[in-house]
Amino acid sequence: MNLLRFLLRRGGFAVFVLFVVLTITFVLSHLIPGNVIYAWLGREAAQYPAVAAAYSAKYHLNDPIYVQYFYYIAGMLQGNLGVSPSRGFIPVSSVIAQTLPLTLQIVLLAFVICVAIGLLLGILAARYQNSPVDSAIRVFYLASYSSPPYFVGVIILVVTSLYLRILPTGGAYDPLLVSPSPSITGFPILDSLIQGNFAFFENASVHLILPALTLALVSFGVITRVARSSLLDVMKTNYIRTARSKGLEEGSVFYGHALPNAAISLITISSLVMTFLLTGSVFVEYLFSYPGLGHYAFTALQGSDYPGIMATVFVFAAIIIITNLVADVLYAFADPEIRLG
Amino acid sequence: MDNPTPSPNHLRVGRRVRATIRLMTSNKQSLVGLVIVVGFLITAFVMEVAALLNLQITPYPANPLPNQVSAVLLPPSLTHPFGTDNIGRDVFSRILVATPYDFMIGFVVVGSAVLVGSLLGGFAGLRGGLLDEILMRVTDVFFALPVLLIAMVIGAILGGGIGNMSVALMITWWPPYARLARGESLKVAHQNYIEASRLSGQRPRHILFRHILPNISGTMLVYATLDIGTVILVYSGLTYLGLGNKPPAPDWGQMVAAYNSWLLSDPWLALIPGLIISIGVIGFSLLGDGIKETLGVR
Amino acid sequence: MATVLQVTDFSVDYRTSRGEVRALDSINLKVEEKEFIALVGESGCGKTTLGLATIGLLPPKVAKIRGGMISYKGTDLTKLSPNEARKYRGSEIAMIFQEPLTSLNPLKRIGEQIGEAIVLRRRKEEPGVPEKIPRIPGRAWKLPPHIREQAERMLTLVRIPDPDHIINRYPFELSGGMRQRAMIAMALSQQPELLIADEPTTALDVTTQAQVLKLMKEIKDKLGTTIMLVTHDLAVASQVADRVVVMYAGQIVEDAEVHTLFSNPRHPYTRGLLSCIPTGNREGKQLTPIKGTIPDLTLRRDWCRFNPRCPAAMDICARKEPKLKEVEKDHRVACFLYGE
Repeated sequence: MNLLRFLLRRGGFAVFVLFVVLTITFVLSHLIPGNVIYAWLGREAAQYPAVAAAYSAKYHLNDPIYVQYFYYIAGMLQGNLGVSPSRGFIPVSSVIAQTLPLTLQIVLLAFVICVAIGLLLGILAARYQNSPVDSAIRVFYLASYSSPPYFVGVIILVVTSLYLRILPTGGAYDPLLVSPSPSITGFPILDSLIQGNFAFFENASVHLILPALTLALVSFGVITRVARSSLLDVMKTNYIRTARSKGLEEGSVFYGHALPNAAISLITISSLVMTFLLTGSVFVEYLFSYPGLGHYAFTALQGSDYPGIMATVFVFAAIIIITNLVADVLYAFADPEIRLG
Repeated sequence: MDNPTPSPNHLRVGRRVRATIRLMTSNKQSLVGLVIVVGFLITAFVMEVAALLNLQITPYPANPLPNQVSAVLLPPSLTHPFGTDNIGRDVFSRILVATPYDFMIGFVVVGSAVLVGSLLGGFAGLRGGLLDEILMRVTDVFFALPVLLIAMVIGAILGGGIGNMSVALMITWWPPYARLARGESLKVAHQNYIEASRLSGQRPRHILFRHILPNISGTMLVYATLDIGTVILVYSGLTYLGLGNKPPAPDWGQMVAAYNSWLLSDPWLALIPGLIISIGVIGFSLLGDGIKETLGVR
Repeated sequence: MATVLQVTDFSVDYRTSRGEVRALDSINLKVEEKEFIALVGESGCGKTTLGLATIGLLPPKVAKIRGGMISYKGTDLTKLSPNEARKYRGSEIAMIFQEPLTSLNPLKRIGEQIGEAIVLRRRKEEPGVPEKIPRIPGRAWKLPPHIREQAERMLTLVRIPDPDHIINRYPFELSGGMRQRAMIAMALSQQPELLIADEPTTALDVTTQAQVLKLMKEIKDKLGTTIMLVTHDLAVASQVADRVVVMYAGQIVEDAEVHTLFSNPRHPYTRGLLSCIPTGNREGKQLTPIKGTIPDLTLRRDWCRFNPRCPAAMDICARKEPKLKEVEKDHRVACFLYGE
């Protein structure tokens, strides 16, 4: 049962890393110059002794550090992430509950676009290696991973708002035109679809396009490069030579033997792509005024909202770790040696 | 590669430098990249010297006093190649002044990462055992974390500014190099002359410096070259978020963020710094890819 | 007996970082139907190149055919377009390779890979019938029954035990010997006229090696397949081949029926090779290796390539190139010891 052991090991590791992240944010919150209270309440609120005292008592901020750590972890696990000074002291967890689905909508759409473009270009570049097509594609993916997301976003914004004018350039939807449905899944787009609020669905979807496109454009480069090089490597292997020796047409050799084998190496890249997308969302959401988690991270940073900052880092880290785990699982199923051996 | 009698180190260094330069000019791609990189390097060097000597060599001051400003929001022209911003500062001058920071940070961070990583990884590979295990676990954890975000938080806590951000980045940047160095070290550690050296009583540190480190291969060179571009990209992102030098000191990323409000009316303000960043990073990508092709390394 | 393969003045150059290497130099060879021929020589002598050239799998960017032709049953394979050449691959000329693990697709089950060969054969026999190449993964994976049955038959033919079990296995689950047999089964599924085997036993242990060789002999006898075995091991050749062709530095130096070669080796290189073989009855005697190394093939020579290492070298050997000549029935040698 090699598979089970493998999965348990990866799962255990994921949990361990999450704990490390929690510990890091805990340590960091105590490194903030000045009182720990500042970290949790922001400087202004910390001036009010009554509030500060109440907060200290509630969160055990005067107890020895290992006690604090314990309550911190316990609190985090229960979803208590403190209150957010930059958002008027509402609980951080509710901010995250509002903003995370929006970011996930963009990120997932961007992921799909990114993989589609990346794979397509990578396959083309490998199939027509060293031709002008390959060189052109190379220019594209070079530009892709060399450009900052906000730069690409700026270009897209300028182009669409000045010249094309067909796509909205900001916000998650037009509040003057449509309104969201009551929350069921927590994802506004899904909720509206389920409840038949098609006006909102359409409007919100259209608002997703530009941010997701921007994210995808700066992230597909990596996929293209890896797809191309792994395809080229596979084409040089002995088993491809064997496939040809059977009289198989080049097309079948490429799509039937080379591509599936190369695809496996792409699974490992996908978690890297997720990292790009998540960190990129901070910039893209700011640029397009899209009220997601990235935007919250941005405003929290600017407002020295430490609970907000650390919570968002934790959530992003958790998403990345989960993506890693999913990739590991997929890989375990795809590779027969792990699955059966 | 079997090297029964390793040559004296100083000779090897000279040969190595020449070989590296040959590598970098070996194909068209890396040549273009090298030109771009060298262009930026010279600019950075000149600007830094000027800054140290307190000279203003840019056509206009980057942080002008109220009486030194030009007209606001001028589009690019002959006198102002990149136009002026909302306060009337010459954008071209600002970009030049920011170059020593935004460009050189790549070298600083990657340089330290190479150093720290090579030492740690090389040593771990040589010694093996518990040390090696610990290093592997630590790098595993780093690889699973979103290090950019953590650098962001560290930076936010330490406060912005290039010094603090450099530290934040250096803390998180070394693991891939440790892994690479460990791999190389493992490969070399079992070769005969290492065994001979060890048997004759040489201390591990000696083996590390004289035999292993100089052999750390083209893989690391390729990776480091590409990585410098990445650091520039990341740092520009951090300055965009406001974590760079405090205004009015210019930083490329910070300029893009600051000029965001004029996006629709005067797009060049935000576009040009972004373009400069992209060109810088592309330079390193081309150089790195070019070297990779010549070496045939993965 | 009909001639299956006729190689005439065939030359191939490889482009390397050091310049152009003449891997094959004016090769002349004839292979008859149902013959078991062994191409023997050291690494780099060109035997593998000849095999790859015959099946048309020379690496396209580095290998260039510089002259001559390879005629398969009357058709010049070297003049065919890639698409036409492909039609001969598998169904007429098949090849098996040295490393069975890397030569089999690690992600496809044995049955699927053999099944693919079978389907290709069927497609050729009935051109209008587009059968789907089985490519369904997972536990519920099934080959269409008639294909499965044939695949199992092929596996039985190569003496793999439990074929219905092996069909569902991945290459990494099989031992080296079984993988090699599976490759042979796959190659034979298309019922080729000519089977080229490139060092099939080199990666195997001695016992397995013997089994595989025996299997190959059986295939020749039972199916009537012409077999071209490429090997560096003369001993292997002696066990199975009908005829042995000795190659050196891109040229054929001796070509003889197996018993003749071993009882009466003419070329100094062949003699040198034979005296290198450790055999049981040479106790106390030293192995005599051949002095020197193979020449640098980037330089063109108009003289005998073996000259520098030859114990019987004469003046003329440094001035002219010996051509293959028949010295007795079915025994050709390229050496000035036997006349100009």
